[in-house]
Amino acid sequence: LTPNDALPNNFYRLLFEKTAQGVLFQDADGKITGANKAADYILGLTAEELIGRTRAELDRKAISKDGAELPVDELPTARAMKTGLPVFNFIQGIYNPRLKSNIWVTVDAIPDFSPETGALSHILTIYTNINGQRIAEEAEKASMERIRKLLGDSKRSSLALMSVVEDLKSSGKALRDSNDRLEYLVHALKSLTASKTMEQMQEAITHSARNLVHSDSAALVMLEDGLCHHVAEDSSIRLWKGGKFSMDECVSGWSISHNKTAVIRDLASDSRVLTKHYASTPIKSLVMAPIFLDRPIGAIGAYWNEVFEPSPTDIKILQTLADSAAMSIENLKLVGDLEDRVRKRTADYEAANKELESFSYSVSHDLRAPLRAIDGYVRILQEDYQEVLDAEGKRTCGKISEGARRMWQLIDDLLLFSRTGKQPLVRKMIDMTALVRQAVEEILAPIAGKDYDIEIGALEPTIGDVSLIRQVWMNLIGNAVKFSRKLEKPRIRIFSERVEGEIVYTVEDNGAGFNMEYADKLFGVFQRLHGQNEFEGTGVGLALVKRIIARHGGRIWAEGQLDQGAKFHFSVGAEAADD
Amino acid sequence: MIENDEIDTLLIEDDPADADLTMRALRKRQLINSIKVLSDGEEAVQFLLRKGPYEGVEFPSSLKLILLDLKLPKLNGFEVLQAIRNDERAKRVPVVILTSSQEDPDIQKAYALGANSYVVKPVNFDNFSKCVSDLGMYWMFLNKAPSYR
Repeated sequence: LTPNDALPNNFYRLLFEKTAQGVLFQDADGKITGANKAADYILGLTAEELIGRTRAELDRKAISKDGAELPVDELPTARAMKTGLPVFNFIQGIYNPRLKSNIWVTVDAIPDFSPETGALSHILTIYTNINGQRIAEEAEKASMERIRKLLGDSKRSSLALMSVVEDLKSSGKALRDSNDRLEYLVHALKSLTASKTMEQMQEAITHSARNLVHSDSAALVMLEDGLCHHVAEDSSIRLWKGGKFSMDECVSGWSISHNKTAVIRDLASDSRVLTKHYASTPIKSLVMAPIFLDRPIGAIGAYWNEVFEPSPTDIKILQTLADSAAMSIENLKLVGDLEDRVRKRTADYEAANKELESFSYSVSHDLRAPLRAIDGYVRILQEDYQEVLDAEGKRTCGKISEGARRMWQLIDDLLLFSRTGKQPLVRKMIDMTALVRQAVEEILAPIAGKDYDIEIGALEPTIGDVSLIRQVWMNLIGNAVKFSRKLEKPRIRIFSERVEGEIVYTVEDNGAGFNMEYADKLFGVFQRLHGQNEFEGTGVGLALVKRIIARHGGRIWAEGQLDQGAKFHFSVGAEAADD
Repeated sequence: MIENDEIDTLLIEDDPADADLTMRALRKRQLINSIKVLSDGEEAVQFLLRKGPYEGVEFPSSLKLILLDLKLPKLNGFEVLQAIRNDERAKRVPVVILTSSQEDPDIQKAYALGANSYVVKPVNFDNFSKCVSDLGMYWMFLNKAPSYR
């Protein structure tokens, strides 16, 4: 047992779905058997496109740190497969067909082995996105390259050195700045993931967008029924919140329909812009990044009140936010759908339960009322018309009464059967020996005089619902008594034994028994192996017993032979699978 | 036609078998003189409030008990009970609810509307017969009925 055992059951699944690291499962042949959302984002391929394909198909156009194309055999997954050793922190570029560019990642590839055979069973590949880091590194490398070049040209070397120093200063500042922004981006993505409602999410998106790119305002547009709906904005003045525009009259529409980021330095001179929408606003420049998953969802806009040239980083960050927003919106929608479904199911279940209750009620009353009439009128015949009825008439009355009584019993049993499935179990320690003694006494009381040889062994105690376990004994012992009553020397043995750690209780009789061929029918509702003339009964008793045992997490089975008696075995189960 | 003067029990019950078995149980032990059975709520109200076909006919002065079912056509038992309790004369008649319903809300409502007793019809015939004759015994002989002048 580790402290992690207290985690909820779905924790690992959630972790797999929600982590920002791309995760792939591959079988021993390299075939992909699982992929999460982040893998979809990093690799630019959906789970449907990934699953079933092999590593070799996937590992195309992988490049190393210095830009050289990497041979497939050099890649972490291939190496882990070949050597059986894990590979960690391998840096590579992966071509993402959706972004139509390389994404820089570190890759961990971890082989897993079958505990039985020791053979390779799975490879777990984890991709961590380091794109931002690489961009900064590349900038630094470019500066160094320039230093080397410029120093080679002696005439201009002093000037060059100065420019390099300036570059280094600004790139150092840029690095610090980009560090801050990365930190804020992480914070922003967390707030997206943490959003519980669509409103919270929308607020988180616009707030993050404005702060990430230091714009004067930001807006979230959702594609709804072919219209661009400005659902939220983060702005000191009101822009278009609540407004709906057709796809071809706004920049968000252009961005959504082209799945491209629109960068507009000067609104006044761009053909994609209908200036009338901006006439009442101070906006001069904007960036609009599409939110796209497997379909267009919407767009995020950042707006500046001065003419402004957004940097590549600004654009990238907004795109990253949009990509995360796509996933978060999708997740929230899925969770919402799921919650709706759970709510509906619960309501359905409650309604069904209520219906069942009122059904039980009407069964117990409305169905019995005519029986009271049948029985009542027959009794009137028998009491008031004794002299008029001949022997056959009296016999007929008896048969009618008997039928009514059987129906009565059937209704009782069915009600008990349906109630047994519903009421909660109350588990307590049960003295089985005492319980069985009581049951035997109660069963034998009405048939006093009959000579039953009943042997009750020392029974192991158990934990269960007393009233239900009592019902089990009543039915099993009642059956044993019933099916052995025609014998001269009916004999019943009740005992318990431990079989491989399980306590098994047995009721054994030497009565009518049954054909093992029909053993599977014993426990079905209304299933009987004897005619009413042979042995009376409704066929509910053993079905009830089975239901009670199942609710306790135990099991029941029977052995028998025709005219050689029957043995019913059951266990109660330790801590049940019930409730 | 029963003379109004003789009626001591009014049975308001729409199930003919239940009505039959109830009357038999009461008669068997000679607990009642004369019983009138009405099978819907509207007629019961007309009878007790002297309306419709009963307008101008004298109120049954020897009435000692109303046995009232809840599930009735036209007006249900509660509506009948309410109409009785709102009538200056009829409100004094002891009313026993005799029904299949053992729902708590029904029981609460019956007493709130002024029922004198609430009895659930036993499902089994023997118990039913005994229950009805016990009721007859109590309300005909032990209980002191009001007068309706």
